[in-house]
Amino acid sequence: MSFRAFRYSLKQGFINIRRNKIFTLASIGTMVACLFMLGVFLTILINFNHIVSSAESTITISVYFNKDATAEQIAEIGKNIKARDEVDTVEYRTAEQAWQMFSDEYYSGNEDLISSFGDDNPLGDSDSYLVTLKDIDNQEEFSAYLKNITGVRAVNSPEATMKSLSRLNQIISVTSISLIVILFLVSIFLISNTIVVAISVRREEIAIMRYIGAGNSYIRGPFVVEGVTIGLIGALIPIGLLYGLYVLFTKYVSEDLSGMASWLKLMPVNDVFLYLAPICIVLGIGIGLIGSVSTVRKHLKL
Amino acid sequence: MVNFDHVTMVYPGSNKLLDNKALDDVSFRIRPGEFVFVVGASGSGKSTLIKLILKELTATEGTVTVMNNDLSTVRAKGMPLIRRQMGVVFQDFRLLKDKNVYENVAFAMQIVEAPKKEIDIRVHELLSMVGLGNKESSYPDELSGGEQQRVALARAMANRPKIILADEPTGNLDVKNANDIMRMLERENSRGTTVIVVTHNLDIVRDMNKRVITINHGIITSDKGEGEYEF
Ligand SMILES: Nc1ncnc2c1ncn2[C@@H]1O[C@H](COP(=O)(O)OP(=O)(O)OP(=O)(O)O)[C@@H](O)[C@H]1O
Ligand SMILES: [Mg+2]
Repeated sequence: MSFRAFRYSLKQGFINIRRNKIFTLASIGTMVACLFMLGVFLTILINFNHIVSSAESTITISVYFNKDATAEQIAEIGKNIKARDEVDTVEYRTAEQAWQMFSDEYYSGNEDLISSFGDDNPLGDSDSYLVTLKDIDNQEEFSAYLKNITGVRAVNSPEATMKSLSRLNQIISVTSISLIVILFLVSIFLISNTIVVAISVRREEIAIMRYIGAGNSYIRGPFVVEGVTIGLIGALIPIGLLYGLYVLFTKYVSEDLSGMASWLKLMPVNDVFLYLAPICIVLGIGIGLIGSVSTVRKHLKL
Repeated sequence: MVNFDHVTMVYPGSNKLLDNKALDDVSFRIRPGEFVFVVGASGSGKSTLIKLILKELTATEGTVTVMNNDLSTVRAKGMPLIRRQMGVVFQDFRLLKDKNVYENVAFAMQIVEAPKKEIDIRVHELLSMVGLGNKESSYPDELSGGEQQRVALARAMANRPKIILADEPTGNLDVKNANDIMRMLERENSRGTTVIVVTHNLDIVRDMNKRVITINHGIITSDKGEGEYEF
């Protein structure tokens, strides 16, 4: 396509849009709704992954030893754990350190309560390894492995929470992917309809252009421009809406919910839209392109 | 230039049992630089013949050759290139309604990527040739039938075509405008352009004294050279 054909297509494409207002608005509206819903899902997904992964990095498995374990045995166990592929970090902790951390975390400000335990360390008089994994999905298997090592007395891992978290993650992913596919098809169908109407309005004009020998770029170009423009506008509006809403929501969470939901650490708005904006724009343009090119191929054969 | 070799055209959907063929085993040969009239009653197949030359239709049987291209072998993508060497004029003018006179003619050159300067010079030249030098910025709706047909003719000639096809170009025009259009076609023909004119108007055919092909019910019933046609 030459530059002139491109410029012609742009101009004529915008004329089409203006002439075909009702259908254009209907398709833009649907695309906005579709991409908005998609954006909401993606935003949740992105934040969910963010929360899960920050939770993951703090999730640790504690490995306690038999009372009679020798120092060599303990060192051997540590070496074996470290050698495993799924292990991220291993840290040795004495019983006193563990107690200190435990009381800091759960009883800070309530020192009286701690003193009620006296010297009776409720975690048991035991040193331990603190293990973090690269992927929490391996946690169950890994705990089983740990329990079978001789010299290990107990393994302490927050299995249930992590399992349901990653299950939830899967559900959200699958739901949003199916939603994306359905919305994709609906939007393509609508844009295609709009282009069919635009073509039928210009049928006579197209016939004339063929008689004077216009090639594909002149005949089909304007309709592709029309489709892509609808897609682009249909992407930009929901991006703007989502941006505004996200800013308001993060403000609400940090100001009004800060006490109630300390686990709800939302990603900064710009980090989210670094993913979201390109995804929406690419999808919008892609939907416009697929919808218009397929229609034009079918209805504007030379 | 244009050869029909045993061409039969049956429209899809028409009843073959009734033998309703638009063209039936038609053969003729038009040489470069010729001026040919095609005449015949309504429904005899004249427009079908023009559409076959433009490859708007494809022959059911036989071969249509245009400028040494067998149209049955030309791919869809190649057709615009061939059409650019053919100028077409219709009874109903077929101008682009949202473009003015100048733009209508210029557009034909724009799609072949002619340089802007060349387009400007050529369009002015053509419009003053067809007597519309003062109507460049008028829109088709603001023109009389005769004026619209002049624009259509200017557009048909814009890319210096090798063939001009005219299907009833004077059908909607009064005698004076009809004669003007025919003079312009004759002048273009004298420059070497092959001209094929479909018409009902036997007065014009008589005046012009050119080759005349007569079609009747899809069959060529006579093909007379200059001065041979009898009225
Ligand atoms: N698209 C079509 N589908 C089916 N039959 C058609 C079609 N176009 C034309 N015909 C038939 O083909 C025959 C020839 O039509 P054509 O248009 O070539 O006639 P014509 O000589 O140009 O007539 P006129 O002088 O009225 O313009 C007619 O019988 C017509 O009914
Ligand atoms: Mg006809």
